[in-house]
Parts: sequence; C-alpha cells; structure tokens
Amino acid sequence: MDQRMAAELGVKLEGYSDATRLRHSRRRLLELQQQLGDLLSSLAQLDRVPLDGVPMAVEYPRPTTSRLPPVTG
Amino acid sequence: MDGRTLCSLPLHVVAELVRSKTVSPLELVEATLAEIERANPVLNCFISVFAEQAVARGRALTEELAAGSYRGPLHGIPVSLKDNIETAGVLTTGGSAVLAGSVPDRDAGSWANLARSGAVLVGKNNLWELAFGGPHPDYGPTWNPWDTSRTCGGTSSGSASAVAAGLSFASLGTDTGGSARVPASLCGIVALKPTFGLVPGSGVIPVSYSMDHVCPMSRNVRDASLVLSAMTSAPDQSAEGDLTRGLAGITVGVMKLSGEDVVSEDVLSAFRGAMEVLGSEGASLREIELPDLSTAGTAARVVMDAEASDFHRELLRTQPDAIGVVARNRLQAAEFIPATYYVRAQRVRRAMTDEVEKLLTTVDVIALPAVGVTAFQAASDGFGVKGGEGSPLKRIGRFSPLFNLTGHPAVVLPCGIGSDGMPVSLQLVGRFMEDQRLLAIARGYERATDWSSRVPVPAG
Repeated sequence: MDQRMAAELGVKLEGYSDATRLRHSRRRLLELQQQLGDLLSSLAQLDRVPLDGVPMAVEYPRPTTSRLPPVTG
Repeated sequence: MDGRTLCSLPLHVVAELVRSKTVSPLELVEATLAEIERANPVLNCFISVFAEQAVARGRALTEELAAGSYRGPLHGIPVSLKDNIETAGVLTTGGSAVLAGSVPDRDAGSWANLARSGAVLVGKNNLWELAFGGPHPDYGPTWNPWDTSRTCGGTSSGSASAVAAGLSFASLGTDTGGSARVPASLCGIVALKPTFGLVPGSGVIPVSYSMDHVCPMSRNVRDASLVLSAMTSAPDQSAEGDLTRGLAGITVGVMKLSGEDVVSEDVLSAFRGAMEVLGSEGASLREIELPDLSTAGTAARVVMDAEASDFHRELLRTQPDAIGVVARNRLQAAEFIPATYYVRAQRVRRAMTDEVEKLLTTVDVIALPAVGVTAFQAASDGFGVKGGEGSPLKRIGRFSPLFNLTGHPAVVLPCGIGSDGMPVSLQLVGRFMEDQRLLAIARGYERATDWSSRVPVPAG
C-alpha cells in the first residue's frame, strides 16, 4: 500500500516493509477498503446498546478437576 | 457386515460391537481407511490421512482388548481432527500455506484426552484457512456429502463432511462464531459447542483467545455425549446426564423470530415442527426474546477479528501474500478497529451474557434455528455463492455468535429435510456447565424423531 492510498484510507501501515506495501495492488486495496468499510459501518450498532454500569469483564464458571460421567440411553 | 455398512453406524453402536469383540478395532480402522480412500477424492474433507499409524494403533488396541483391557466406549474408534488441532509429530496445517510444513511437538489437550480413551486418529480434516478465512487454494474446498455441488459452510467443513459421509465416527471441530455448529447443520450431523472453558483449549491454533471452543461433532447426540465425556476433565454440575430421562417437566424458551431473522420457509417449517415435537414429548414451551442477534454478530466479529489479528500479527507482516485473500483481508481490516470499540464490544458481551443468564433462570433450554438456510450451491472456490453476490457468512452466521460471546453450551442437531433435499437443524442452548443436561434434553428430541438417522447417499 503506498502512502497516497494509505492516506485515502486514513490509516498508516507502520511496520510493513516497503516491498510489502508495494505488493498491494489496487484491487487488493479495494478489497481491503470494502472489508474495512463493512466493518467500520457495522460498529455503529454497538453505540446503540445501553451500557450504563456494565463492566468489561465476563466471568465464566471455572471447571474443576474430575471427569464428566459417561451417559446412557 | 461389509465395511461401508460398518462405517455408517453410529459411534455408540460400534463401541458396543468392539466391547463385545464382535468387531475388532483393527477391522474398524481398515474399513474407515477404505471409505476415506473411496470418498475423499470427491469430498476433499481430509488434508492428511495416517493409514500406517492408524493401522498400527488399531492393531495395538485389538491386542489390548484381547488381553482383557477395555478403555471405554472410544476404545479403537476411528476419529479425525480439524487440522488446527495440534498433534505431536504429525502435520498440522491450519488449512493455510503458511503452516504447510508445521509439525507440533505436543498434542492438544482435547486430543490427548481422546487418545487416552482409546480413540484412533485416522486423519486431519480440511478447514477454512486458520479457522477464520475461506478454503485455501492449496487444499481446495470441501464438498457436502448430501450434494457435492453444495457448501458445507465453515470453518470445520472437513469435520462435518467426513462425519456425515461415514469417513470418521466423530471429529473434533472448533467454533469461534459458529464454525462447528454451522457446518454440522448444513451436513446434517450433531455438534456441541461446550461451555467455554469446559474442554481444554490448549494446542489449538487460536482465532480468538476468549471465544474459541473445541467441539465434538458426531452423527447423533449420544455420540457427542460420549466424546465430550472422554475429552473433558470437569464434572457436569447438572449431574443429569441420563439421556433416557425424556422431556417431561422441561421448559423450553422458544426464540421469538424478528423480521431481521431471515429464515427460509423450509427452516421455519422444520423449526416449528421441532417445537411441536418438544411439546408433544411433555416439554412446556414459552416464547422468549433474545438479545439482538445482529448486534451480537458485530460484537463477536470485533472481538474475534481483533484477537485473531493480534495473534497473527507477525505473520501478517512477514508473509501476507501466503495468506488467502479472505483471511488476509479480515486480519488487515481488524488492525483498524479502534480500541474503544474492542472495549465496547466486550461490554456489550457482558450485558448479553447477563441477559442470557437471566433467561436461563426461567427456562431450562433456549431453542432457535441453527442456520437460516440450507446448504447453498457454492462457487468453484467453495466459499462464494454460485451465481450470487454478497457474503456467504451473512447467510449462514446469524444464529451462532451470540453463544460464543456468552460462553453458554449450544448443541445443533438435525430436525428436518428441506425441499432441496438438504438437512435442516435445530439449536438448543443450556446453562453454564450443564452440558450433559443440555445433551439429555437434545437426546429426548432426537429419540422422538428419526432425523439423526438420515444419512446422505455415499459419494465416490
């Protein structure tokens, strides 16, 4: 991805080598752009969920150590 | 009994044949390998087949049995693994060119438990790349044994196809957003996504640290229960694993479908028929509203894609061209998910988990469709829709991801055949750590119908 294309997307790809950036054809850029567009546009759904007082962590029950009994039937 | 007939039997039936020494593990292994050799060229459901090792193991387990040692229902049973589940000294490709020569030095915890129980590994199943993308061209697509022009869905496509076609008595798949339940549904078999954390997740190439599940995939509920029992190391807190107990007294929360829940007439009809069966078997039905599935899908995608992109970060920078286009685009796009939305998605997850937990204090299980459509005809890449546009994932992925977010156990099982001749499935969701109780309820439905005994005409 060249710098102009990166600018169009409003992103940086720091950490990618120049060769890697250049291998991005325009088609690949468009595919990525579409993927990114779909993803970012769907994020607005999350804004509509009321989350007052909801923390981040999910607590799952912890398995203990013995084995599940076999079943019959 | 000829080999093909033997391979078409459910696991629990052949387990009894082995225990009674009517059939030896070696005979089972040889019959299974013959079926794989016959049908895999058409279905492409195996990436690797370990004939020599499987025969040696089958022989050893036959001798062990003759000497009076019986390990249990999986003694000498040929099984397969999705090829993102690590096996010591054996190729594990992840369905990706970047891992084409990868030979792990350890067994995944789930497989180690099965192996100790006497299961015989006959091969590793094809999958969508890294359990995240589409079929990689190096391995090609897997085809549905009910109609080899149709998709199996993904990502555990090879596992579902192999089990449905009688090339493996059970397989372990993985499920991060429906990857075991969707292909199982489209191929007419059973898949259980266990409670998060119940089955060891070690030794599985990760997609999402917080949503990956290792899943038994089998031809019926009883077989899934046997495999789950063999590979877990935790007690079932429900202590109600009796699969004969029936459905009387059970309350089923039936999902109220909304206009957004696009389901075909075939699926709707089969789902309604399944609810009638549950009612006629003594269960009480109560309509419930689930959290918004579209929002759940977005939250799951944010968490999954961000965590997958983090895990594959080095790969994405050093070998981007070796990753197939579907996986690569998802991984690259995920690098631009704002951190605030990852946090927000986790909070949505917490809210939805609490909501489902609350629902499950009023009902014993939740019932909803497994997939809204039957298996569609696939493009030649095995991923896209033949002659159509749009994401195939949007067609098949609606009803699964909520329970990857929440971690509740969810089982899919056949409940009908569509007008196109393809299987339709039902999904039941249970309480945390009550996986065997959930299976007992699913078995109650299964015993009242004959859908799980329907099998595809053999391919090849």
